Amino acid sequence: MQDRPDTRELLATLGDYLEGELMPALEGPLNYRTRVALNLCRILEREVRLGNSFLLRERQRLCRLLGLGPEDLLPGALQDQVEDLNQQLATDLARDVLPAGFEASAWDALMATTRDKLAIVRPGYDRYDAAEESL
Amino acid sequence: MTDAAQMQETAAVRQSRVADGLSRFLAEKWGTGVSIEGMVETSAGARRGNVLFDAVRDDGRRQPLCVTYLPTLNIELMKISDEAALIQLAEEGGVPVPHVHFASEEPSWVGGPFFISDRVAGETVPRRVLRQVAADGTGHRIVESLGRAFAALHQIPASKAPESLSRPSEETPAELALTRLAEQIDNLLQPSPVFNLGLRWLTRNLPAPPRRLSIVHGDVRNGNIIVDHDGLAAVLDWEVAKIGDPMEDLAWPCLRCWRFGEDRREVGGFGAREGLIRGYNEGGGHFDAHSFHWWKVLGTMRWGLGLAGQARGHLDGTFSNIVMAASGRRVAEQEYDLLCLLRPRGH
Repeated sequence: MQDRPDTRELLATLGDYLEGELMPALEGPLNYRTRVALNLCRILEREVRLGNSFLLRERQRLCRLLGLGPEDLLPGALQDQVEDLNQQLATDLARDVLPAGFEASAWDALMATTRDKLAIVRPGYDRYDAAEESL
Repeated sequence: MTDAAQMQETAAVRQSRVADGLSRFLAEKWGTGVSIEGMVETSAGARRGNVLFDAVRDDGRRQPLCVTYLPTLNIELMKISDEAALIQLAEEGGVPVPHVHFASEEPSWVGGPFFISDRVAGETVPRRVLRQVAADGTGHRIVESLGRAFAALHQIPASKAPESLSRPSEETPAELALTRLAEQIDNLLQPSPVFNLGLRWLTRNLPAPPRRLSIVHGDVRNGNIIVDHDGLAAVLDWEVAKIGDPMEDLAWPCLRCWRFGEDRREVGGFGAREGLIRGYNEGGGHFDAHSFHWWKVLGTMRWGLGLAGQARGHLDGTFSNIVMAASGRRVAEQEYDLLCLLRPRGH
């Protein structure tokens, strides 16, 4: 086991350094790129905290949608399992004919997963729901 | 070498070469000595440069101008002289554009092809544009002006456009765009069932062919327009123009990614779509709500897949930098926007 600071603490420290010390000393393109780096630090902090539980939820949603059980999962890492399930869903969505209601169920599952992704990469982005913009 | 280092290394050299070339070129055109002053490089684009400058003749006359140039010959999306001709055509049709004075494909002046146009006063940086528009209360006027500008552009006979503009052949513009999009989905580094759901919807809801094919600018949005205190001053950046479906043009500035936080103002963060439709129809265009929505869905996917492509370019080394890497983590925003547009009734 590594010594403290742990991953989250180091990412927070790295972000604080970029924001508090480096960015004020930089202008123009370097300031902009450092801001991007800072944002990536904050994303990673949230991913370390939330990423695994979100992957578990994504796997569960996909299994339910595709009618699969634990015995159908690829052996191996959670991330690979989820990627495989997403590939299966992508392939299904390319079929001509789908079971009644499948598209709406897929939408629900994908929306839930996308909201989880946003909670890591862009918290608050899903406050706007474009309700007035549907056809 | 990183592209940042490249940019820094050559900026000063490039600027003096461009100044020298412009001075010689304008001296020949005007038959008098010309000095180039106050050069400001404005373009963030990696492929081409935009430089604002004052051309001062020997008699002291000072003219604010802008040069758009390619640093080398081999990276043109559209020939610069065709772009210049297209801008002139748009101006004749009543679209607000910077007046083009000269265009040249001759590389000996500034190192690559270029055109020189008027420098239109106003703001182009999106968030500054929105702040200024809020202060001036010009949002609704800009939306309507955009509608009128599109109507003017789309009524120019497509046959007058430079022949090099890309155009659909047998298929409709929507079918052509869909084929390209499917290729982009095939190139993803990881599956995105959200984009597959979008592709499914687009395939099953293809719009009718447009009444007629038009010149489509292809990238009118907050960031590619000049806004002054009165409203819309000019439409810039014609390099991705093509022959296509006019509704593609109207839908593009309405993507959420071009609202820069003003999400409830559908058209570029400026205002509601009603003004765009009114300006377009009053200007002689025919707004088609279904086609508009289809192109908005397509545009949202296109932008999302473009971001994924930037991340791929970073990872495979074709164009590596931290901004391109970060683009990969912005794909989810477009996936969310796409799902919102495809929301099933009651969900």
